[in-house]
Amino acid sequence: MAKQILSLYKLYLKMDIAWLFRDAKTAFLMIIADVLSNLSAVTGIFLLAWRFDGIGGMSRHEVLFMLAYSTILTGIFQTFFCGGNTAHISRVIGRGQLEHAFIQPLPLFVQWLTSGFIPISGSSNLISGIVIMIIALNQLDLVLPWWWIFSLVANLIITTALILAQSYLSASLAFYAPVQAEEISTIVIDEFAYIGNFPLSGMPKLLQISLITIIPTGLLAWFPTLALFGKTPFGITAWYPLFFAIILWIIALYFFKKGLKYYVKKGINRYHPMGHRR
Amino acid sequence: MLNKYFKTAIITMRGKTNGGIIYLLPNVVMSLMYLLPLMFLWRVLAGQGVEVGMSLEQMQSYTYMNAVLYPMLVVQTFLSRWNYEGQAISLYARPVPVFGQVISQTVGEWLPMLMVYSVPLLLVAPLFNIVVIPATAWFTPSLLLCVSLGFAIDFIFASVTVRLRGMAWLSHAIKMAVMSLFSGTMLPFKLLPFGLTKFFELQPFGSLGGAPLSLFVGTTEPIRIIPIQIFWNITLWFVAVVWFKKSKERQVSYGG
Repeated sequence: MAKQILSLYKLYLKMDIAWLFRDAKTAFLMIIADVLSNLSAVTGIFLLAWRFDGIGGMSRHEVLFMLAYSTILTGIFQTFFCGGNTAHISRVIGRGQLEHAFIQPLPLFVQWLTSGFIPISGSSNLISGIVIMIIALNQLDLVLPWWWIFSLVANLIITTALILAQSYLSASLAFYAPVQAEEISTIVIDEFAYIGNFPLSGMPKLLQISLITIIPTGLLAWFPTLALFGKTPFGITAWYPLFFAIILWIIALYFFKKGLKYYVKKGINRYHPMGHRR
Repeated sequence: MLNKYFKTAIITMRGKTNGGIIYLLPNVVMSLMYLLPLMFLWRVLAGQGVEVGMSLEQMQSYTYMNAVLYPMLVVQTFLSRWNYEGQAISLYARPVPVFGQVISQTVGEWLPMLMVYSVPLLLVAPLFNIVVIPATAWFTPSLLLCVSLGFAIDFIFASVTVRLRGMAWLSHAIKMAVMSLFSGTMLPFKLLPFGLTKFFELQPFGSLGGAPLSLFVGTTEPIRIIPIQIFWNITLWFVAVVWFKKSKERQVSYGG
């Protein structure tokens, strides 16, 4: 299976390059739009951190590191899962397009793991995030152990898994209410990512706890940032996001499978014969 | 004469709630989730003792009123989306001007959230010691100018979508990126470092949400805000009308 996944990644890489060269103007504009969207979200918080000389005990450059982490996270997410709406899966479900996947001679899991791969057009935030992180680390003047980079990569993989779990869990609703819930993955991903940019340091403990448990936006950038600096909130283990991601995935898979069974029986017919959606 | 627009708004409002009010719940929850951390963020920042020319009460009131009035402070119509989906053409098949239809339908789309989210939020504000009375009566004309300018900017972006051959997502992403930072809805201009306040007030997006909110909390003078808002309204409505008319023939009628 690993060989098959790699060959599909290679195929999607070729397709992404082909798109870039076929319509360079559009591709360029898309990349600019991606970078602008993300940078505008993080710039506001950084300007605040600068004006107030840090936020809630986090220095200006620690906040910058956190925003860089968030930008890289967005970049990884876009690079691997934003092609073909694989991350924004409620669109596929709500639009009645899941049948397109059923007729492919590949398991759904393999399709969704690979068909979102857009390494050229989707990597702009990944690159800009890495640049911002290097600047932040340089300013922080830290001495980091050799394994720190592996810890950073592991945290990024876990947080990406968290976003996907949130998206697939919320998308389960689209099986039952395709029109109303068509964009629910987008709302959850975008809003959670936006709120995830807020440094929670200094905020009331009840709010901090709520935002790393009930609504886990604090696990997207704030918690991993502090964990990477060895200052894990409340002294919780740095593995907490991993445990959380596993539990969230179990819940997401349960409801997604339940919704899928309902969908197989009822179907979703959103298209007029002429091609417009209802 | 205005009855047809009123009816259009009502029909659109009903369309938003056809599936039941319950489907507005995710939007309400998301909006509250957005509001809460920001309210506490001001508390944290105020506690750091940096003098920024705004009190904690003003910062919280600014953010709270932004949440209450959000759809009006950064206007988003359905026009770009409809262009992408090939539905915009249907606007020309109705016996009402296109500009009027878009405006009345958009206002109709605002109404359900204003009723289930904004009004309750206003009612509970005193419980949290949030000031919901404007510092000056100039807030109302400023808000009207903000809404008017929001529509003009949205028509310009809709024209961009038409020029980009229906790439609605692209123009939406650029618009929202620019708006979120430059409209002053998330971050009051008064709090910006490096002397950026003046620049942000003068640029066209600064006449959107940030302008009436600054007047609401009393961190600026009407004379600094209203003339700039009038100037951008005249300029950008002229651009919007001319460009949208020129883009009319380029619209597509087949979407997906």
